[in-house]
Amino acid sequence: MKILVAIKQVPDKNARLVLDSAGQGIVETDVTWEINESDRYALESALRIKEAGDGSGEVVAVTVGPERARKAISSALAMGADRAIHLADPDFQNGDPLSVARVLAAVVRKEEPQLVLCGTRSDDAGYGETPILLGGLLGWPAVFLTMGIEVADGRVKVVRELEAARQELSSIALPAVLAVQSGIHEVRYTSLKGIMAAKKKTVDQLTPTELGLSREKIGRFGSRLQVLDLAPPVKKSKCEFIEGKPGDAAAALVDRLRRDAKVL
Amino acid sequence: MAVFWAAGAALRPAPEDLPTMSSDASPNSPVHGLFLGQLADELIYPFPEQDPEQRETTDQAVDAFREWARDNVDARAIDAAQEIPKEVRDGMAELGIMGMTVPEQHGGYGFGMTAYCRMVEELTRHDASLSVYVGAHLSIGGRPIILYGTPEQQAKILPQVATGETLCAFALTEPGAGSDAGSMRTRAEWDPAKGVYRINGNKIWITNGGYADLFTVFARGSGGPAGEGEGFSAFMVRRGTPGFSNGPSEHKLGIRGTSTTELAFVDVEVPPEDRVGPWGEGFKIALQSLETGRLSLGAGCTGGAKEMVRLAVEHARERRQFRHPIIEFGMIREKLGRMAASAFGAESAVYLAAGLYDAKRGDVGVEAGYCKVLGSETLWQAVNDTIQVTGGIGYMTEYPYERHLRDSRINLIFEGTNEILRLSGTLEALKEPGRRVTDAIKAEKAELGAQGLAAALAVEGMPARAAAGATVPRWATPALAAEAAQFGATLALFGETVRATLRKHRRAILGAQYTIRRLADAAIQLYAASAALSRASTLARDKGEEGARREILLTRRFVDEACRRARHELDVVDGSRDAMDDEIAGLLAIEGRYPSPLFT
Repeated sequence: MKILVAIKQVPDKNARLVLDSAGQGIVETDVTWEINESDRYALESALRIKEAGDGSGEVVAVTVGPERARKAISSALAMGADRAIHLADPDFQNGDPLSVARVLAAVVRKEEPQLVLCGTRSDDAGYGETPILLGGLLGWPAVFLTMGIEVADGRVKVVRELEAARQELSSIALPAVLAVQSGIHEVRYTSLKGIMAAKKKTVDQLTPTELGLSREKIGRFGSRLQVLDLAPPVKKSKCEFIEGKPGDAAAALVDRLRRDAKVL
Repeated sequence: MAVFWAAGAALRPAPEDLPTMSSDASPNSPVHGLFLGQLADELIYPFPEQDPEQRETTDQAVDAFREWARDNVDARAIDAAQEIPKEVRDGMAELGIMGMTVPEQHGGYGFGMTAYCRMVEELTRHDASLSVYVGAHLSIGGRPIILYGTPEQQAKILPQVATGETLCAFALTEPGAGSDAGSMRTRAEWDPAKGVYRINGNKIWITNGGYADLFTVFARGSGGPAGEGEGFSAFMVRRGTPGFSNGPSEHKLGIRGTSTTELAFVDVEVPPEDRVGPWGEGFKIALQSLETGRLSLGAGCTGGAKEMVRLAVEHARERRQFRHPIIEFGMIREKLGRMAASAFGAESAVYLAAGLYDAKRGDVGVEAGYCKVLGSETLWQAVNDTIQVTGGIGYMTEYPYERHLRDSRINLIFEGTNEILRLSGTLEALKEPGRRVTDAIKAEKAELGAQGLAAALAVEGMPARAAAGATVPRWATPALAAEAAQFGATLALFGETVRATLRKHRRAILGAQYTIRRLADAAIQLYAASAALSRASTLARDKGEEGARREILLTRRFVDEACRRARHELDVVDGSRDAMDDEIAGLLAIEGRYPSPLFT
């Protein structure tokens, strides 16, 4: 079975982020990058499905990202993906979830996998829309918050996480898009063997033309969503003393917590 | 890894066809240059860069180890249990750590020195015991087979070494042969009837003694199958060979996870195909293996020092006294500044030498020893500073700081004590200037007067005071002009001092340990300063001075202190205190106690 795994390179969780002068992005120098956490779980799931199969399976990692995303691809290959597709063309970049989903859909049409695995949401932008939009564009079922996957006889049994710790088990006809939740399995460690083997694996670069995509539909030109402003949270702290008798002060406090702080 | 090295032994017999130095040739290493009062520009600048592909591999490998170690290595538990748990040892083997430097054709990953040093740094940051465990296996234990094994030995043994199935150890040190390895008593006698070597003797303080499967054992013997004479050779002895046994793990101050044991050999039979390298080449094999060990140990210490910076800063930012985080106070800032700059200097020194080693440029044997000295002392100082910054907390066993203190102390002792490395490296570096001074004196005797002096200076080939500007690194980035000038002046003074000292002591320099210690310390500081200057200047060339601002800042801080320290040593190179120390020690040697009690 051929599985496509969409991965995204995001800033390291501990990176100190500085906004750029335009206020619409971050300064990328001095930032270290890593594979988005839930995407790693998606990749792990794909590798497990392949390993449980008859040996004919293939896991293809695909990423939309600039040159620096090459590092994420190397990591995915070192973890065990068989090959990768890097969509590094500048026209692909800086798109909203829909334009990214369009690019991924074009890759899926070209590669014809039976299953597409994504992480649920990226740790940086965090829209959580791309997998669902991808399913929509392809006309495939798409499942969000996947916590269990079992492939058998052209169908996939999926455990989906619901509210209040409830889970839903469903059976879906392939092909399908699954958005995998962090924690689904323990993610394997990368070994030196994997790192060395990755060097011999192929990484294909595709252009918009090769995917039959016009510039107006992808990247920042294809984006319907426009970020107007980014700002760091303003740190505010203020201390107020409520005077009066204990009973009155407590009542005033409850009132303030309800009315101003809206925490009660 | 507990190996104490022989004084005066040639540090590194030329392994390949290394260039030898003549008076008109340029020095074959940065330190050799310093001792001639020269800046070995072409070796020092630009700062070596790791090959991009290897760099990517190393980045990934270091990340992979870090991620694994975060989840699986509990340094505190390892220290308490005095053992590295089997899961951790197996985990490292699965990651491929045990095969890093084994050539790829034998199932390893062919790491160069720079890559290996980077990984050893990371190991040390997580747990010094792991670093020493891996170092004993790869840096020294398995190294003789990688360097000198026959194709058959390598094909047979290295694949298991690479997977970690066969863990290696290095067995050189004996009860009576520590620093003075030449006085070793373990014998390997050829038994012509059985066609085997028969090993008898004892080794002590052998790292991995309790864990290892394969021991590289050094022994003297009087012959072999081809009727060889008395010689000192290396042998492979497997655990389980009749007559071989190891003692219990010693209880140690630090690196408690490692197993350090005695080894006993009673009529241990070793077939001739298990001798490593040619008969009689044992010294050369041991020295070359130790050399790589020293460089990577220096790297490990640098990694430790950087970890100390992290721990000290973490505390200094959080801890508030007098309503301020203590990082705002000058006495804390001074420590943090020194720690960061010293780590930067040691790191620069290590990776300059590692880069030259990987590029097979020159012979960095002396630098390797100096890096071990500098790294270990930088880490020790950094741990001490961290404990001071953390105050009472630093002293409590509940926190990690005191473990770092215990773990880092061994670095000044093993793999050649810092005293031995100062001595052997410096004597090695003094050979060429010594030869030149001898020639100059001869020339002076041949010609009299001013002409004679001019002839002598020409023969010595060292810059006279007037030419001191030649020692200023002309490649230094403009922002470091003042430090480059300071360095140049100190180097000129060093060159002159070396020459004057050699003229004064002549052959007696071999025994002048007070003087050698000072020359060694000045040389170590100058070498590291040249590496730091090169590193910051190379980065400034590539990224502009703004892009290199941190490196420039740390270099300024480091070079200033390094030059002052060097200058201090040179000012008192034949210090008047030496005679007093001689006299006091003489008194102590006779009386065996504090010589002048105030109250009896």
